[in-house]
Amino acid sequence: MVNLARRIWNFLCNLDLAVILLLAVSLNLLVGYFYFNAYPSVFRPLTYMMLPEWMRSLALANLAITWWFFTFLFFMIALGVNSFVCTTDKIAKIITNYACYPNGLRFMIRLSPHLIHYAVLIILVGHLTLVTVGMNYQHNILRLDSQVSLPGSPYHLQLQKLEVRYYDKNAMISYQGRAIDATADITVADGNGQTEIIRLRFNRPCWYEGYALHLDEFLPTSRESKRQEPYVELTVRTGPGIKIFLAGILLFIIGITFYLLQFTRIRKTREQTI
Amino acid sequence: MKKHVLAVILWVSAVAAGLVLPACQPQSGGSLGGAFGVRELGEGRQEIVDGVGRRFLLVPEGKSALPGYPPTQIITIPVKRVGAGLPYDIGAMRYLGVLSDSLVGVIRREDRWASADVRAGIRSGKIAYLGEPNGIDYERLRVVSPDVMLTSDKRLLPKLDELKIPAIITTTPMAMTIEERLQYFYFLAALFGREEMAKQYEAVIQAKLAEVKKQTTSVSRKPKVIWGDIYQKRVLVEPMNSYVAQLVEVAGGDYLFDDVRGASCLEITLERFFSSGLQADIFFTYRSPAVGIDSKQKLITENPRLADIKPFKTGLVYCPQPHFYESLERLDDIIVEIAAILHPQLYQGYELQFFQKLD
Repeated sequence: MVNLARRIWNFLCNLDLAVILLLAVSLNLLVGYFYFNAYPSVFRPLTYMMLPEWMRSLALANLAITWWFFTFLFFMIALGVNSFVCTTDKIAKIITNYACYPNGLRFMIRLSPHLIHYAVLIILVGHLTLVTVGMNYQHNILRLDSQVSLPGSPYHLQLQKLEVRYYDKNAMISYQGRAIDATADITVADGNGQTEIIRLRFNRPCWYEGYALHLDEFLPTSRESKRQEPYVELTVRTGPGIKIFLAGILLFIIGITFYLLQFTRIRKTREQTI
Repeated sequence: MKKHVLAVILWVSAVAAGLVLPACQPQSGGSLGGAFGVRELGEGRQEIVDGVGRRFLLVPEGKSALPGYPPTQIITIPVKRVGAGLPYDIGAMRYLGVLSDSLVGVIRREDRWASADVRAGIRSGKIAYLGEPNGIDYERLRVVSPDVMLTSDKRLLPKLDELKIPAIITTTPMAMTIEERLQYFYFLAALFGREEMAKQYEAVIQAKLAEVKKQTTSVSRKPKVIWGDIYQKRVLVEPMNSYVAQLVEVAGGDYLFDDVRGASCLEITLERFFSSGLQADIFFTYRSPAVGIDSKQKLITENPRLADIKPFKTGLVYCPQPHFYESLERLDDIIVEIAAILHPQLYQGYELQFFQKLD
């Protein structure tokens, strides 16, 4: 049994396998590119549907068109496992030889490229979790005069105030008077009459009780459309994907920091040699 | 060794070509899913997906709904009372044969509709005027109380939810392709139980596309075409994925914004517009006598920069006639008309029905 596990481990811990898988992924994506362009109505919903829902309702019903996506997932998972095994194997060796390193910093520098590999894997897992687990609610339109319920919760949302910043007359002619950014103040009311105001901007989503609220669209988008009724459109997401993704980013930062440190040490060593 | 490498390359190429080939001849029409998708759920129940991806459960009269759909996304079919705001919704309803019986309200005043049946309906009170796009009369909407509201305006969703009126968005974030136009008919037909009409429509359009394509393949030169508008500050064009761009290609034209992809009437830079405008033979604009533009000179007066592009010097400029937008159910005739504009030698004596030439 141990022998079999070792053989599987050794099979997966193989650079040739990595190269083959990378080629397979590239070829797969090349094929997918043509299908993606030929059948936009099948693949476009991937931007707003969760992966299991898309697979159930669209992918399995159109397998002749979507087969490449399944093979792509298979190759990516295989590549992920291959990278994980290779990285773990290397890290195990580095840890075993800990005593050979003169100090902790040298040890961390040696470890850093592998931490980056782990980070990329975690980020990929985060992405997969993001599109697989949890919910993605689109088209939540908030206006000044009506409340919308936050799906699956006792909370109600209403647009309290929308401040739009416009390009001024110093901007390029085609941009003058058009919106650069918007800040939306949103009232969140629970069932007990308690209210709270949260603030949303583009690229400034907000966490609220496990919900990630993202600003998608808004009106007015220009000074000319200022007379139209203002509204904002939110995308609401739930699920652990974002946290896994952020953990991956954090590990990536740690890895890259130690990785870059080696260059300062190399320079110091050179200067000392000179 | 070289032989092995060559064999591997040939093998990989053959496999790739075999895999890619089916993608080069995409299916058209029917229901693949996605925007305007229709899915059978058994016992006559269907799930439809509107233009922005919202799912609706269609339940035959007397049957119970399935769980998992918000109340305003459950619709009893066949639908009997419909409110609409978009001209092409009206056209599609007319084709399906449900316009006179089912249309109970429209957005936009009577004089802003070109179709005689809609105008007469508003005048007689059979079709209620529900206000303007930027000012819906919700009180009247509540009184009219349609079973379904077809709209392009997402801002209406919370208000219509309050009024418990299911609102279906019939526009898409990306420009609609011919395939999506055909799928849209299946989608709308599901509401009225007119699936046979949608099938018939698809067959007619496919046949016409094939016929026009065959007829125009023999031409020696493809006229270069651009489709869009230039305003004081902005340039908006139809992207290559729009049905009009696809129609131009089918009709034997060379659509010059073939690198532009995205939403309908997509904004591009002035430079990009001019790089194609300088080569184009034919310019289709949406600005027409309805908005005071009845000649090339009027367009140039509004935007003098247009005088520099080829269609204004030696080429041709066309704009849609007012009823064009309410006639998209006549896509087969529109295809022929575009072919006749692009290749007048093939369609001698053809009289324009949907477009007009600006001199």
